[in-house]
Amino acid sequence: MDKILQVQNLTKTFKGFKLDNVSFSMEKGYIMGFIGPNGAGKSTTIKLIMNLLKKDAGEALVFGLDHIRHEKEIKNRVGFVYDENYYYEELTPKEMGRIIAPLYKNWDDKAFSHYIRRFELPLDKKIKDLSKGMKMKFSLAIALSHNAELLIMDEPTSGLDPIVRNELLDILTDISRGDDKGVFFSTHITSDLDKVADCITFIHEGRIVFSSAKDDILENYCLVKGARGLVRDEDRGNFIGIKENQFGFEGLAQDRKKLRRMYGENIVIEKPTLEDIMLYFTRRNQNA
Amino acid sequence: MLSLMLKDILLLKKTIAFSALYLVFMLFVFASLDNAASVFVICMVAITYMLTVSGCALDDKNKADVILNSLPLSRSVIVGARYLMVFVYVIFAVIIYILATRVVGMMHLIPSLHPVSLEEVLGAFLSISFLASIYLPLYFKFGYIKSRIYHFILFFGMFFGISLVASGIASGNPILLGIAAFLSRQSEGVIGAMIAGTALALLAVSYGISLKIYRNREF
Repeated sequence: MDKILQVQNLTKTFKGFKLDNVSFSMEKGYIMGFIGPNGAGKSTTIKLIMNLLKKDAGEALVFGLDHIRHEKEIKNRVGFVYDENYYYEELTPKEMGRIIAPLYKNWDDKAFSHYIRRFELPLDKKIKDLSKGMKMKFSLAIALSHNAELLIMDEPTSGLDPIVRNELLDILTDISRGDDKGVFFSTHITSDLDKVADCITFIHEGRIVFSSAKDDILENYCLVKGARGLVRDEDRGNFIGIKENQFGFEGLAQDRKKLRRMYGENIVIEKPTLEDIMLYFTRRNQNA
Repeated sequence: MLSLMLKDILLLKKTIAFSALYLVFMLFVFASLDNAASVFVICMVAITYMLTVSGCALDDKNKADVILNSLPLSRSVIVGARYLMVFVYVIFAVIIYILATRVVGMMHLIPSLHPVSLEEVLGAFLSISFLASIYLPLYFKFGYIKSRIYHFILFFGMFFGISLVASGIASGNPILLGIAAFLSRQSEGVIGAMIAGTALALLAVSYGISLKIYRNREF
């Protein structure tokens, strides 16, 4: 299948943080969730793909094209939504639309009007007077009005109320139904991805922990629960992460057959959520 | 490029309207002054420079570089638009001045209006080019907030420099007198071409420096 986004060994070093050989890829027609705790490197990766930051090493291909050599062509085909509003607060959505429209080869005035109406955005109100949800919707209206083949979104749902968040997720699902489009969506609110994502890339402390289909991930990992003291210290290595309290333990593991052999019916094995997986991976590193 | 220029005009529409009013007000001030020509140049420079810096300030306040560099725009266009706006502001200020002198003249509100001359326009253009050529690379390097101190030094230093040159000529500084004598031997056309050429050369060099800086910027 055609890769819409390929990232290979992307590296960037800051004082106190390193994005370390980040690699993953995404095919057309999918929504990829890019998850990780705050400060894991999600925004840095997105900024590197968008050439807002200069990479130290590695490469990023968008639509099979080098993201720097073909920057203008790529940006004509990419729609972006960031975690905060960067549009001019002193202008109205109408004025901002007038400025941006001529910059895109495939700008579609009808689509812009459609999304402005759908999101009930006031055209003549200054952007600074719009609510956070409205600002995000405006960013989305711009991103969807030039027939973008790839949407790159950095924490678009953070700070939004559940109604707006759900509306956004519905739109993303609609977009990904077209086989030639894709959505790359970073968030630390994993419940959003439980609903819409097809594949997940998990980044932690600047390194990719895994990148694969969401269903495979949820299938590969299991949440294990049992009585306190059941897991001996030397067996803790069978778990990605484990937490214990006065009532018992709960841990994330991969090899459910082995655990079943070891503990029989003394444990309960459940399907984890993405949040469980993120939590235990993060905790493992903290405990390491 | 045109979109970015439209963006600055929309952002600064209130400042532009205020500048136009300020110019009309200055017409009345010029009428009572002996050295109206130099005041005209200073006034033009002040307006153009203020508009340029205000455009930079609004870009900085809105962290606009993130959006601009996410749009299908090359960095050379983003930097170029900022320089082209200097020309737009000069042309705007001159047109407003000419229109205002015509209207005020027709209404006979002021007995002696100061008519704008090509030398004065070129003088204003050279001065603003000099200021913008120094300020814009600093802005692209440090952003508006950090470059504010340079902006003040530059703006007030410029007027200090002009008075320094004037007093140098008055006190018989041989270098300055030599330059003045050389210029006095040239025709108006040659002087005009020299001023315009110097201004354009300054802007071209400054644009090259700004672009080099901006290409290495991270957002």
